[in-house]
Amino acid sequence: MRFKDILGNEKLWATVYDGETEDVLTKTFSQWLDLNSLYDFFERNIADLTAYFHITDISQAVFETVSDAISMKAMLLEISPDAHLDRLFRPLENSRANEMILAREKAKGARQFGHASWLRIYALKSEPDTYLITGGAIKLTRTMGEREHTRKELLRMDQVRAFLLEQGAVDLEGFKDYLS
Amino acid sequence: MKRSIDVLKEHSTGEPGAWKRQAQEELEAWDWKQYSYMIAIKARRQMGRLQMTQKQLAEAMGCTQQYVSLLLSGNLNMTLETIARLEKALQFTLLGELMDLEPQYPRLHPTSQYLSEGPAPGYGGDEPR
Repeated sequence: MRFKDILGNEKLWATVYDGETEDVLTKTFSQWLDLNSLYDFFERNIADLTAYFHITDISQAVFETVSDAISMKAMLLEISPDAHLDRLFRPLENSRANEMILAREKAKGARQFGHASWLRIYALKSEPDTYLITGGAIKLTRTMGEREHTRKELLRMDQVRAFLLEQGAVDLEGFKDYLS
Repeated sequence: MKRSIDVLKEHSTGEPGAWKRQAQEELEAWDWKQYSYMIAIKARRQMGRLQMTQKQLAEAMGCTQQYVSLLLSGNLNMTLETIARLEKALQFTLLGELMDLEPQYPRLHPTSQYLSEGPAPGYGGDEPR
């Protein structure tokens, strides 16, 4: 497992999984900006699209996804070196009370088209304002555990977290505790 | 025990900021790509109406199925010739409406056997070989 410094400022990283040549952020955007992939996805998940978003036209869902994805990409590019990524990412579990080491986080697309975005980028919080992206998904259901493709993202977050912990990684607070 | 940022640096792929540079280029390509996406979505809608498969579209356009797949992915910088062949194969209008904006110019109709009987020699200017 390797990691790519996405913005060149050591604040935002993306995982390159074993056997892969591309980082996971590049792969995620490629899928979100490929109509063949999107039509295939929404045809398989039309029931969720209808049930949760009341959308029955797959072409509309594809159009919204592409628009949302390109906006999200532009937003990542516009992040200035001094900007706070903490404003972009939120805890994965809405009810999480205490900060944990290498916490699971998510970034969502902007609200457009009259409903919340279904695009998600998943990451681990390495340090304040420093994140490691582990994947991304189109989330149509209320919880991630309900569908295979989002369940896979949960597993990937745990897999990367376990790798970092195996390497002896702790977050900044843990490192301060260790030194004191 | 190490800071997590140090572990990331130890396992870094190198090339810091390469993603940003590539993404910047892709955003610059959005000027034409937005049209490619819209054409692909409209083409897919029309294929649905006609109940036409990608294989049938490829045959109607006189190109390979792989080329049609690339066209329908929304990531192909199409030539005017490709768009015209797509319109003809799917019996719908994309750029054809442009002709109606200048009604003083009559539409030109091909009369030669060469134009009415299929792909011109060397067709496929933007098709990957």
